[in-house]
Amino acid sequence: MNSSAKDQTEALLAHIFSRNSLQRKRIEHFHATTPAAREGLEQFVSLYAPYLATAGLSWETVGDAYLTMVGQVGEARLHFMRTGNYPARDQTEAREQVYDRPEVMRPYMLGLAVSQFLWSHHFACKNFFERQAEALSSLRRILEVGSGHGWFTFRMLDLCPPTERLTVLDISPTSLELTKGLLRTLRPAAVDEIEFIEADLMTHERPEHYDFVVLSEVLEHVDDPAGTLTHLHAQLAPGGFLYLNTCANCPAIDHAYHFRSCREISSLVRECGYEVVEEAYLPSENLPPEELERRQLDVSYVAILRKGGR
Amino acid sequence: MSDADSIPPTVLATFRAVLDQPDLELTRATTANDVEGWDSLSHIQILVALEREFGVRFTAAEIADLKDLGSLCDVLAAKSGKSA
Repeated sequence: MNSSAKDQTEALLAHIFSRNSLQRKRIEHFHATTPAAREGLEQFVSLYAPYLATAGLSWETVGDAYLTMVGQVGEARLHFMRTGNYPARDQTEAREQVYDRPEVMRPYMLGLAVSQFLWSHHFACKNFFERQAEALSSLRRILEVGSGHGWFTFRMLDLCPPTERLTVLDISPTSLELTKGLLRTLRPAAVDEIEFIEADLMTHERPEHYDFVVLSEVLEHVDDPAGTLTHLHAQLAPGGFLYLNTCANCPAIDHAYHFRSCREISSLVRECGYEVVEEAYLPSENLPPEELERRQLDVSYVAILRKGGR
Repeated sequence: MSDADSIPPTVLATFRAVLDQPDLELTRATTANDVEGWDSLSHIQILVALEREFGVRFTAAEIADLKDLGSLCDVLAAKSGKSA
């Protein structure tokens, strides 16, 4: 790691810490107990810096975006504790309030991108995805739904590049712009080979087409998770895989569907016809599962699922 | 401790109750690093309790900006009109 990345990482953290002492406490503890996360952050900073330069953004901007996202999640959590509901009534409201508003969506995505190295459960989700993606091979066609900040798209090009086509579909034009921008800087030779589609997933139909579908942090954003999973099941080739990352009790400004537990999600994927190859429940806090559920705290569900038939 | 450093009794009582630390002492310069148990999880419980006590609602920007306890008291004072 070059000293520049180290310096930039320290500057980013110092910016966050100077503005929010709770984040300082949380992140310092996480990095002290998980050195790989701190090393991962430095690698992320090193890779991300050229993109920021191209986009005319600074690390201070990223730090502010992260803190804005922390505030939004906190406000959503307060709403959830007051009412028992997520702030957005449905996916239409989430779209109007977030996805279609670049001034909201852009910093939100920047904050989420860096949170992969600042929050224990986001770091664990990222690691689970990378491990699974690396194990997959001979993939012809991949569909990524909801690329968001674009980091997973970038990682897939290294870990499991498809031999035929990578399709990136997102309902948010800002997400597609961020993903394209990141790839134009980091993988310029690959970006023109990727098919980008701005659309609602439910209008996208290529039956039995994809070998691998990535559905990361999408299912909690839709009104009908069962319908979404069933729709994607039909798009998968026999024997194809789906990577799923969603969450239970995880209020956010754009989450529409409230899963009460990871067990509920695990049952749902089976009801929708998938075989669970591997799954994990990744908590946001280091507490026993029953305590997390009793207090309705955020737990991520990650899984690699398979469509039978090959 | 001077008056300028002191924390309103209601805020102090809320922190003591939520963190279950009856003898906890706080000043405006106190940060999360100074208090065992004051973490992002208990902080939300503290905010909920303060919202009820002061009849206010915190916004995302106010939650994001938390240099020290004094900054939280300033937000409360501005929102509630009380001397927080």
